[in-house]
Amino acid sequence: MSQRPLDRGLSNIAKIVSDMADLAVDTVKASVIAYLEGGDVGVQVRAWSDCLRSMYNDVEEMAVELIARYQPVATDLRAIKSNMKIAYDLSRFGRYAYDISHVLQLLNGYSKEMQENKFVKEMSDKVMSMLHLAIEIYKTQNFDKVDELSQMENEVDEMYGKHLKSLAQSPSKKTAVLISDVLLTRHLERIADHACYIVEEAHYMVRGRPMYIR
Amino acid sequence: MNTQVLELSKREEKPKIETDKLNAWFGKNHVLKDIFITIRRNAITAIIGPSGCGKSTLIRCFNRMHELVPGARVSGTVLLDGRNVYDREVDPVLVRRKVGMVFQKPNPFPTMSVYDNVAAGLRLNGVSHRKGLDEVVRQSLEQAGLWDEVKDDLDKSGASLSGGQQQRLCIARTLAVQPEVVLMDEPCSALDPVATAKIEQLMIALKNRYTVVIVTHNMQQAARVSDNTAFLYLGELVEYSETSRLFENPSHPLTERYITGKFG
Repeated sequence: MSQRPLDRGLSNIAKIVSDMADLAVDTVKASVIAYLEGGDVGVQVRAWSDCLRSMYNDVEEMAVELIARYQPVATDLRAIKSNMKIAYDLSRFGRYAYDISHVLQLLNGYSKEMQENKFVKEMSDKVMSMLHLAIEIYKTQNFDKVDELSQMENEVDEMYGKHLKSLAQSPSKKTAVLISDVLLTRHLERIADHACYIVEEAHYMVRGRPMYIR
Repeated sequence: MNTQVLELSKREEKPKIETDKLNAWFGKNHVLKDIFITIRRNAITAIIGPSGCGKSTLIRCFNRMHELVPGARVSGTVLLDGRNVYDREVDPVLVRRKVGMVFQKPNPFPTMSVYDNVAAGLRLNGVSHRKGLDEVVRQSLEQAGLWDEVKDDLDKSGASLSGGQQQRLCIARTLAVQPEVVLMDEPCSALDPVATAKIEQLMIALKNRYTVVIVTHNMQQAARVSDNTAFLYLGELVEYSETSRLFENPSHPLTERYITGKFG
């Protein structure tokens, strides 16, 4: 059967969201590495974050046009709805990445104490792994590793909670480092949440029923 | 039959219409195959499916109009409020009064006035006193959302109305004999979007008093107005579920392919 006019629009949206996923991973990675290892990535991360936001706006506009023109139903409608939400989640990655790089600027840049924070390194590694896994599940539409993602999400939440408690109970650090630690881990925790939302949306798109990871 | 069809069919404790092993033929052509479906009272049920799948035949079996076609026959049961309309002692004329039908093309009696079009069914049923007729004509036109547009032109020919008005006149004519079920066979296919919107609003208003079954080729119309939707294919009931569910996440791949336009 020949391609329906709607199919071209759906493909275009899927392509943009896929590109957004790659860019979102790069953006978060750049900001986290700069935080942990130093480097001035503020301008670059800001540009990528704006680009992600702009791509999200494009997806939204295209989605509304497809709904208006073709009144899609079933898998078509679910694909549009889910891709809109996933595009939003990906744009949030850009925003959190920008916020992480902004923390460095606000608090006078990278310091040795940040690099020595093994806990932050461990949490950011975990969140980056979640991000990669979520994108893999979204792109392959294979949900076999959802339990793994869920386990990682629980671990991140636990790490975040423990970290906040430990900072509150023994604030041995400089105030600037303490604030940046809190903000970074908060942003990482939110990134992990959005990674889960992406997989939940991908599941709804493919299977037609909700799944809650968190 | 899939489990979802069974689920929806079992949920209704006292359906308005219920069929069991309903089969219909035109000569040797087997057009409906073992249909089991329940029609919820005071709800709108949409029947969708490709041309020739048996949609119109199904609703024509509900009020015994199918048997009017030479060579047509039916087996199985159609229960209306628990009574089989195909029982020998049941008068088909009474069935058709209880289960009225609106057709694809507006078909007012061309030589009759607006008033007489609505009163025609009542007169056939022996109502002749003017006051009683006046009241029912007015009520029927009001229910059909046409009274305000024609109240000063009741003596004009029904054929002089616009297409949308003619269809609402036909609905008023159907309502005048006080049916319990209104069957609509593609009632908007010959109408423009404005007239279609009026008929759709009317359907939603009518379900408070009547049970409405609509056959439509317009998927968006089924999604807009109906509470439940049945998908027929090659004479079989493939899927029957709540409309929101069927259009968001159909359970059968055939339904998915049909409603997304991937057939063929």
